[in-house]
Amino acid sequence: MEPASWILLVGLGVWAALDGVSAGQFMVSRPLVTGTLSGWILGDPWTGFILGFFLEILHLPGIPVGGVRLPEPGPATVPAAAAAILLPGPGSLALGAGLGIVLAQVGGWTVVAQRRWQGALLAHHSPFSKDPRRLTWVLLGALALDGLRGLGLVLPALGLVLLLPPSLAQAWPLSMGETLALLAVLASAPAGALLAALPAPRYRWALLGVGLVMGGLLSIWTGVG
Amino acid sequence: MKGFLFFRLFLVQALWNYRTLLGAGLLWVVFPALKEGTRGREEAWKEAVERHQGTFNAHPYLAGFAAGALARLEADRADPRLIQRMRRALPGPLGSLGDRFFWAGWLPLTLLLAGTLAMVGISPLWAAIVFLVLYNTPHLLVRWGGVVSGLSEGSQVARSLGRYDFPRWAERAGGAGVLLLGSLGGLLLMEALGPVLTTGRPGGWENILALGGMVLFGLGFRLGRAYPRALSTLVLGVLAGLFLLGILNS
Repeated sequence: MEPASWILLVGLGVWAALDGVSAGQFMVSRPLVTGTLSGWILGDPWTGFILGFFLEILHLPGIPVGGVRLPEPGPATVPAAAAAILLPGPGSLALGAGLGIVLAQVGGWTVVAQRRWQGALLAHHSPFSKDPRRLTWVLLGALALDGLRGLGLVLPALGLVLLLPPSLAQAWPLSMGETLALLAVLASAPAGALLAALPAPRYRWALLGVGLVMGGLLSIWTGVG
Repeated sequence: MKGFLFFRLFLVQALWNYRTLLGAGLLWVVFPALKEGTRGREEAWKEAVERHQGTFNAHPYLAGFAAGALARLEADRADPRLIQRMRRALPGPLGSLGDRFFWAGWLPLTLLLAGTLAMVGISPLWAAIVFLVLYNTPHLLVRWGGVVSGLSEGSQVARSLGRYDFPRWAERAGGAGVLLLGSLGGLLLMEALGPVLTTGRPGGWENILALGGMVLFGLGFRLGRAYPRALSTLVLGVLAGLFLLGILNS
């Protein structure tokens, strides 16, 4: 991997970690975006997109309501996409998917740890009425910590991807077509959970049926499938 | 003041914690407004800061309604009891309306649209750009509109919140999301069953996979939200099992 690509991937991972909660929430941190951008950086946006969309569907039913503890798939998708692109054969896609799931869970734990730490820090510095200017410094510190958290997630994971032996990906027993089909089937369960989570009207099953027909017609029209 | 509040709102969640939730972030957002409203009165400023130190929660994009309204009340030197009542009353609607529209409706809809576009041949990079532009248009409009409404209406901000009609838009976004979810399913089913449908000959493993996908979809619908971690564990287990099989066979 070129040093420039390495720097861009790490930068993207840090940005995704910050965008997820602390800064902006423009949804650059969604796996579909980080996966596609990682793929673009490494010269294969399609693989990045496929992996990102798979991880997206897997995590989309989880809605961040209140203080619910969820995995953090955005930064995790960066090294996952790198694994899918840099390692050989269809096994790399499966390896990337697995790595993405594990790293997303680890990322979720670090978010919880940071929120606990921030609570303790604020309790220590309150009340701000004594010196309200301190609040800005605490906020800047929290942002820096979140960026470091992203860095701590993405940098070692990218290093791990470079150290993984190609023979591991080559041990995967399925062809590319079979791997893509397997990922599509595995994504069906979270897609079902997503259907239950969407704030749709009571006739959601009828809408789903109409969508299926639309998809079939779209497939014939565009020649996909 | 509008610009100050608007730009500070992008960092409203930077201090999110389990003790005060969004409280410290909101205090930082309204900080210049508190200072402006109590200019030259050091004690009044410290009292105002004290008032805004408690727990608060809202959807981050809708927090502008609260920030604007609280800034206006502080600027008007409103009764501190009214300000406290506003701080207690706003989190419920600002949280549930935003979660339902943005997280449960609009986000899945725009992501599914990007996925469908890429599947029918649009470049994945363009699909990602379409998602970001489409998703962030109402995001930014609501952030700005919330600040403007809050500042202009103060304690009556709930009226302008009602004018946005978030529940109806959430249901529309959800309905469109279901259509797109179905379309993606249709595209994938045609991929699997296309050869069977065109040749009339029974297929092989593709048919079994398509059937398995439908069974998993039903299971996910029934159980997925109750056991969210089970989905990731299932995927991880299948992938690890196949890797193990491959390693043992090689």
